[in-house]
Amino acid sequence: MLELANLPLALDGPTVAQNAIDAISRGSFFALVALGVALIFGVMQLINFAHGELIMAGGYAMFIFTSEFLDAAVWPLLILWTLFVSAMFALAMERLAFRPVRRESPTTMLVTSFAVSTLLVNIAVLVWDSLGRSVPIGGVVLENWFAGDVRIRKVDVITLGVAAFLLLSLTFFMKRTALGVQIRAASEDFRMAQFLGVKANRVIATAFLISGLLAGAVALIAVSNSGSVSPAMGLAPLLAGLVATVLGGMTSLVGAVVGGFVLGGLSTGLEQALPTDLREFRDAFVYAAVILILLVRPQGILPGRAARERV
Amino acid sequence: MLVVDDLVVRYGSIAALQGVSLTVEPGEIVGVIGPNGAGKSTLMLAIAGGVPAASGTISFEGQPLLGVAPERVVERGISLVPEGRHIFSRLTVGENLLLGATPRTDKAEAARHREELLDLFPILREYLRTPAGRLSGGEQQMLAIARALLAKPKLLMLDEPSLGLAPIVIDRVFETLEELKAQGMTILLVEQNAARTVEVADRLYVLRTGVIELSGPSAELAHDPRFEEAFLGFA
Repeated sequence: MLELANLPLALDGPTVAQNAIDAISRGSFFALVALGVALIFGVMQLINFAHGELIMAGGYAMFIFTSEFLDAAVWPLLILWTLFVSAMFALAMERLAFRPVRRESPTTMLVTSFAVSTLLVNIAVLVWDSLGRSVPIGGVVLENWFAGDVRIRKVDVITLGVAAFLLLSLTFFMKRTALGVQIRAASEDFRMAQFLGVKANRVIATAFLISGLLAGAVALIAVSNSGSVSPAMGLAPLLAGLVATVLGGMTSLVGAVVGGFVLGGLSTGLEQALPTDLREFRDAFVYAAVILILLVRPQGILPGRAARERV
Repeated sequence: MLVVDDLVVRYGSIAALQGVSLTVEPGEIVGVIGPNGAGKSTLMLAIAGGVPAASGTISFEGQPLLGVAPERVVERGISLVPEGRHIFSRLTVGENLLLGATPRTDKAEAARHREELLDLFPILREYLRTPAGRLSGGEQQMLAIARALLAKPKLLMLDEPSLGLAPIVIDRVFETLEELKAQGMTILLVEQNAARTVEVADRLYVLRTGVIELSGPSAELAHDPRFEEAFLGFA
C-alpha cells in the first residue's frame, strides 16, 4: 500500500514538497479508515474488527467488475459499484450480526466482530483462494506528474481528492442534517439521545452505511495503488485505522481524522529519517512513536467524552 | 393521566422500587422527595422506558407504558430531564435544541416554539452557536429544560433540577417551574430539596428505600409531624 521510492535524505525544497505530498496522501488514506472505525465505536461502543472486510468486499467488487463485466475505463460505474457493495455489506453486517447482540456485553459484540471478520475472509478464500488476484485498473492512475523536480503521483492526487470530498461531505452531513446531528448526539450519550426520541436502529444503521461507503472508498484507493486484491487486504488498513482512531481519542470523529494525518506524517517522516537498512522496519518505529505519544497523552489527541452506555 | 401501580424494579438482587404506586393528574405539579438512594431516579427511568420493571404497571392516558422503548415514550408525550442534565456538551446549544424537537412532525410550529422558549430562557439565545459544554451549570439546566419542552410534552419529568446549582440559580429554576405550571404544564418533579418542592408542588410523595412512606397534598403534608420528621431528616 502506498509504496514510495527511496528518496535522497537531503532536505532540499523538492524533497520537502515531495514528502509533504506523500504524508498528506497517506494520512488522508488512514483518516478514511479511522473515520469508519470511530463512527461505529461512537454510536455502539464497538471496535468493529470486520471493518477491514468491508474494504475487502469493495476490493473484490472491483475485481468482479473488471474481470467479469466491464473495463476499468468505465470508472464512474466502477466507483459507484464498489461503494454500493461495501455499503450493502455494512448494512447487512449491522442487521444480521450486530443488531441481535446490541444489548449484550461489549465482549460479546467484540467476539461477534471477530467472527464476522473470519467468516468473510474464509468465504473469500473459498471462492477466490487465498492468493491475490490482479485487478487491471489501468496505468492512468499510476502515472506521475512532474512539477520541477517534484514527482506527483496521480493516484496520490486522486486519494487526496476522494478523501477531501468525503470529509467535506461527511462534515456537511454531520453538522447540517438532523440525522447527522442525531448521530453526533448518540455518539456522546446514546441513552439521552433515545430519551429525546432519537431512533436507535436508524442512527446505528446510518452509521454503518457511512462506514461502508468509507470502506468502499478505501478499497478504491488501495486497489488503485496495489493493482490487486486478496482476502487479507483489509487487515493492514484496519490496523492503521485503529491506531489512528486511538491516537485521535476514540470517540471524536475530528480526532480520528487528525490521528490519521499524524500517522501518515509519522510514517512518511520516519521513512525518510531512518537509515536505509532500517527502513524495512518502518512500521515498528511508527508504532513505537505512537506508544510514546500515548504515554504522554493517554486520552488521545482530541478525546471525546466516551458514552458509557450502549442501547 | 399517569398511573403507576405496584411498580417493582430490581437491579440484580437489589429491589430499587418495592411496589410503588403514584398518580399524576393533568395540570398538576407532583413532587417526589426522598434521600439519596431512595429510588427516585429509578422511578423516573422506569416511566421513561430506561429500565425494565420486574412487576407492576405504568399507564399514560389510559394506555400501557411498560415495555415501550424510550424513543416511543417521548412520542407519547412524556419528556425526561434526567439527573445531571445530560446535555450534549460537544454539540452547540442550537443543536441540543434541534434534538429536543426530534419527535415532532410539525417542523414550522417547532421553530416558532423554539423562539418562544428562547424568549423564556434569553440566555440561551446568546449561546446558540456555542458548544453546550461551555455553559455554566445553571445555563445547562435551562438548556436541558428547554430541550425537553421542545418535544411539546404533555408530562414533563424533572430529576433533581436543583442539584449542584447555586441558590440564586435554584430560585430561577423554581421560578421557571411556576411559569410552566401557570401555562398549564403537568410536571413530575423529583427532588432532595424538600423545602422548595413543598412550595411548588400540588401533591407530594415521600419515597424511602424503594417504598412510598407518605403522600398527600403539599399544604396538608407540610404540617404533618411525620413529614416534618422525615423532612428534617434529609433537608
